[in-house]
Amino acid sequence: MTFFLIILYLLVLLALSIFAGVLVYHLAVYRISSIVKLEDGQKETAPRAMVFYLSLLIIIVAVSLIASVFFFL
Amino acid sequence: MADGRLVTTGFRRIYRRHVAELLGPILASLGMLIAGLLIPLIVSFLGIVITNYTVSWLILFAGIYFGGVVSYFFLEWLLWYLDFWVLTDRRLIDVQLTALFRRRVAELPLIQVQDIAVDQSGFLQNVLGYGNVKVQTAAKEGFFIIRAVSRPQEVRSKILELAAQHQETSQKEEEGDIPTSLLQQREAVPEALTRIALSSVDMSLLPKFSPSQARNFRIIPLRCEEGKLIVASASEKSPDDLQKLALICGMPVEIIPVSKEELDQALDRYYPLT
Repeated sequence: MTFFLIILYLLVLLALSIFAGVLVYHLAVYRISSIVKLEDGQKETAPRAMVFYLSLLIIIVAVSLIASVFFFL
Repeated sequence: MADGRLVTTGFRRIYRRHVAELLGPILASLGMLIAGLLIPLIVSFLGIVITNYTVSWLILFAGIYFGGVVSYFFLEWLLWYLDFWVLTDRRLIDVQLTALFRRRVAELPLIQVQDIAVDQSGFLQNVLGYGNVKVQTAAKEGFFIIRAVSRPQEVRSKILELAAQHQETSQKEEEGDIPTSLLQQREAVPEALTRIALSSVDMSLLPKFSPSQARNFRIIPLRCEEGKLIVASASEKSPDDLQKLALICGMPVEIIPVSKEELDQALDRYYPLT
């Protein structure tokens, strides 16, 4: 049972990581500055949003991992 | 298009859908978060006994669940962020990310603009002041829609203004009288006209800008017209500067070109250095 859960968890985590990768790829490739040169002082929100999203995702997964280990012990 | 981008120089303004369009995904994400948080309460309410072993697995999968909710919202934001319209002094570009891995870029030369209609329907659109701008064209596709954009009337006016300017420039170029840029056109304003413009300064509007602001931006407020502040300037202002000016005076700003000498004299007269 534990083995099955570990495999399931890893598979879902892998799917989530791939999805996150696709989103980040979109922001990197389809950004506004690929179409139009931005004015001086005008910045894209995309890089900041990408960092925020990835940080949030990593924090959520890491916290749940640590908390589950704590409960398991 | 020197570096591969569609627009690198000239006037360019980016429009995108109103933030209210994200209201649905925001509510859905909040709903999913609340549902996730309610599960432990429901379990304890039902009196189900769970061991530490089960809790640790539940927490692990909760991490994935909340990660999924965050990813869902980020996807919706991405689809919103990457849908935009670029208005330049020569064309309107429509960039749509209709689905992941499906992007559509369409261009409309402003010279093909025939008519523009604004459509604001529904409670939210009317209260928050956004709507669709439908641009009728002479092209095969027929029309171009800028969806759920903020202040659609202003967008309409700007497109019409740029289309008229573009048409005028094209005609002049065809006639061989070539003021190729807007700036050159503005420098060619007759001296008599600039004097008329600066002699009609509405004194009650002067306090809208402090002397340092007026000198910094090199502008003189002239009059209010249809909710806009008409200001005289010797040079073209970037969209960023126009936004800053609008924030300072609290209304949209329109520039009337005047000569540098006239503007300097007017600045000394109306905003003297202390």
